[in-house]
Amino acid sequence: MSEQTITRRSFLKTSAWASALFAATPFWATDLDQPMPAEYLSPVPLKTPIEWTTPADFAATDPAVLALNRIAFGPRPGDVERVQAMGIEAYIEQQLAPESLDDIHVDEMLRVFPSLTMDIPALIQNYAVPFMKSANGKGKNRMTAGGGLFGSPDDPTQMGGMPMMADYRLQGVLELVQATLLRQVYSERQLFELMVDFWTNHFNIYILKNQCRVLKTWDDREVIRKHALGKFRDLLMASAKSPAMLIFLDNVNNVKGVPQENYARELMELHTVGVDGGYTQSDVQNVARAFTGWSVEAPRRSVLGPDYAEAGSFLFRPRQHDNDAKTVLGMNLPAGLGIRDGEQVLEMLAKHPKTAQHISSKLVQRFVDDVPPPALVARAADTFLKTDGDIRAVMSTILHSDEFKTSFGKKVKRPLEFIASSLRALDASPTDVDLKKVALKGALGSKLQTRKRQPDEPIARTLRALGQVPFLWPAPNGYPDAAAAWVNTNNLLTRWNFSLALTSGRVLEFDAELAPAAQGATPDALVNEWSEKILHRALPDADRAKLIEYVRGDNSPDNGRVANLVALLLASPHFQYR
Amino acid sequence: MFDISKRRELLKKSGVLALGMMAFPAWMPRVAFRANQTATKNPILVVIFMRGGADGLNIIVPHGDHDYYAHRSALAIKQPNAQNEDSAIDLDGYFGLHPQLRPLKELWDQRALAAVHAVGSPDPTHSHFDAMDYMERGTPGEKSMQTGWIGRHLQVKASENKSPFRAVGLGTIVQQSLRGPIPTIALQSIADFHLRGDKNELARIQQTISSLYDGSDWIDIEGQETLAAMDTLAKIANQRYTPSHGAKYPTGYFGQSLATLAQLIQADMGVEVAAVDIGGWDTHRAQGADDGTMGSLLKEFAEGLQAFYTDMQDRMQDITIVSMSEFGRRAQENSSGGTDHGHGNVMFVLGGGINGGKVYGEWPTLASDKLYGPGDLAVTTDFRDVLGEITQKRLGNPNLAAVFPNYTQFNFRGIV
Repeated sequence: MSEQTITRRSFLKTSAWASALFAATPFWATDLDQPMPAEYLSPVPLKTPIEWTTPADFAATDPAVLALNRIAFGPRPGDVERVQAMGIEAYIEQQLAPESLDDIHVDEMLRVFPSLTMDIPALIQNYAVPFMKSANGKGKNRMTAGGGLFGSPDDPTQMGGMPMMADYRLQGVLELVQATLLRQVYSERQLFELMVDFWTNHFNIYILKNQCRVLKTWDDREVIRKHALGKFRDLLMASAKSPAMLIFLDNVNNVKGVPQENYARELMELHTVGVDGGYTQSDVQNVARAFTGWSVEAPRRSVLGPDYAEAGSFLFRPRQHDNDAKTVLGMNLPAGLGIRDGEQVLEMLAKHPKTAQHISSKLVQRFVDDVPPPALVARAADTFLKTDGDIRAVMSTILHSDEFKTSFGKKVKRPLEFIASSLRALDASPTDVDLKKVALKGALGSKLQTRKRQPDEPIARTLRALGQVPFLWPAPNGYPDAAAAWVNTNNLLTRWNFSLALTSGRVLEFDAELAPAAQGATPDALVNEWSEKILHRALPDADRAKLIEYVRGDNSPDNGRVANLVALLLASPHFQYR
Repeated sequence: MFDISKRRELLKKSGVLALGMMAFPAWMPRVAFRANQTATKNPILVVIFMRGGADGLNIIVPHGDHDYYAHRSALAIKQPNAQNEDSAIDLDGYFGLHPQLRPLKELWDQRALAAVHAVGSPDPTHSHFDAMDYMERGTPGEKSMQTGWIGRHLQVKASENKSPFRAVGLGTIVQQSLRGPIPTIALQSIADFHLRGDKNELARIQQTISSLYDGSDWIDIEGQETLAAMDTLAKIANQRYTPSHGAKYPTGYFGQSLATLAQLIQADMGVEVAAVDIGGWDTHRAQGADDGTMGSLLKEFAEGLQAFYTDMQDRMQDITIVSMSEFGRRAQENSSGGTDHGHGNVMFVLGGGINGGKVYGEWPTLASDKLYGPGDLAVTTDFRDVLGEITQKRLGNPNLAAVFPNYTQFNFRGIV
């Protein structure tokens, strides 16, 4: 690979994404995974109780529609009929075996993102080093106080000073974020992509922290994607040795004598047993000691020299490891275990009953209900323990359950799901803002089109306004998963605006051509046709009447009134539910 | 009512200002230069959350405590030295300001700014999420309360304020402290808070959306709030905001949040409480001493507050700003040039009607036997004492039992 800027096809305008990412200032929000209850606990009686009720029209929803909204990012045209024909159970089984589904179109699309398949040395060589050279033509590294991508060559534990945002090009980040969105919209392996999304948040890594900018791509492929429907133990072990994770949670600075607790704490609190897992501060400190020396390879010479081949890979440093005996959650680790200290802690945590409970509860919350039904959580946890943490088996228990089948209206779409489901519902295709590139469009079988009107809504800006750009959640706990976190004024207004933009051709990266209204189509007919296409269920009479009245009075030229009608459907409360 | 812009003149003339700049030992009683204000008719509360566990020991520096320097050979802020502008800015002979907080010194000298040290939550947790939760819910150790302390305050305080902007959370997710039955606006930008589309149809589109969201489910209520906010903001959205008195907000999320808030207040939108976040304080490594990561954050923090104060000075008799963080950081620096999670921390209180220019609280010292847990600054003032005093005296709400349930032994420090 040449050292120059990688020229590559992109249908997503790089500058728009870059500005979205640069401007996405990190913020912390509280863990909002507690759902809104029917009544607030308050000593003062409320005048107007706010109740979280399931809307009445959900009672009549077809199970296929539910399945496509929960196990997929929403139905595309024809999906509901297809799933009805094969039957829900068969559909669930098919999605639980993603390897049996081919994904040629998506593979074609993703070929424009070379970083996705690169190993760590290639990632560093192509996405970090070229930029560092160009940053200072003299070849001296002025970016980090420590003097290199991995800090001072003589002190591999010192990972360099704080990165200055403007100094690192975000090419790798842009590719991964765009690829993630494309996969969610276009992959046939929809459940797999939802599992990837789940584990990405569960083992969250803030991609803009230092070298995570290039190393998260490796983590996404070799940790998350590799084990998303596999064994939890394998996933956990891979995550613990993932260079991006070790950097994000500061374990690269966890050394004998001065343990660094960040990873140890989150390993237990977030990744495995959960905050009520029964561990003490002493356990946290001992787990930290168990993981001393779990680090990342740094180059022996200047990073700009030839010896960075191993840089960025996991490396256990025995001399930094605290080899003394330790006790963790009642398990004794005798002295002298070296790397087995940490590995045994992981093995123990992976099969801990509290881990089974914690993971199952999160999965049930994600796929079934903001208030996870305890009986289902218990059954899923039971499956977890019986199958030694087989994620596929746990998902099977959850998805085949009665609770799942009757959970209409219990989940609200998060921003990414809202965007993806809108694009899928309208069968949107990627535009080609760079008109010189043809193959991308060809891969999807659609014609290249010349855009006459300049679109003005880059999707990155919408995602940022909605607060869910992939990999940009700065805390280790991942994006929140309860409706309470996402249903607010800012979010709703942004969704309404996105709906209007998508249907009027103003989204930069996607084209949603709406079939023109048939000759002489009445407002009634149009509303029936499109509410069926978008919502796949009957609208409440009152809402249908309002939409008919709207269409009747819309004087837009061309297909304008269909566009506005579809926008209203996407903006409606009905489309916000999963 | 004191007019703040005239204060400096008065203080200058009486020579007191000059006096205030000398180093006074902490035990010397502070003279209250402002009468104890009762709550104003339209109080406004701004709560700033410094997310990540800000290092209070380097914010209000205990330069008079020799153990501070023993614990932090690399990270300590140097003792006040007029020749060295990287050293602490002395406040009272024992405590000093981090040098990057220089913009706040004037507010301090004007007695508009107070600090509380060794303040925090009684709960020992070092988990960001738990600690933030407890603080924002206002119930340390308890997660059953689904509302936030500010949400409950609004709920129990008798008010005719029906504005959709009564409670504003700056950002994309509503802060936990605001959660409650009074609907809250999550707002990022005033200019963007409207529908965008075909001008000819937009009014009817908006009307239809309104009718689609006319149910009684929670999502409908949020929809109605959104539309009410859009209508209200439409009145000021086209005006370019010019801060008063030459105030300049720093660029960046925090500064822009404050500028947006200022614009809402100046336009009399009915803002009663607002929550603003500033993140990035979790400095486990490469924290920097007088400059670096934390120094840059402090500069942004100070410039933002100073700009807001300057901009809003004609209304400061109504406004109270309080800052907090979920916990402080350990006394001893770690091996990565940073600090780990701690306990006791700093809170700032800024506004008209507070007794500023003083560091409140009992300083437990950083002696080894006085540290808490694994080596943290102890907590000698419960954060609810500070928030409770503000709620009662500045916001005029005496029903503290509802705002902070299960907390009865309030110990007001006289900040208000």
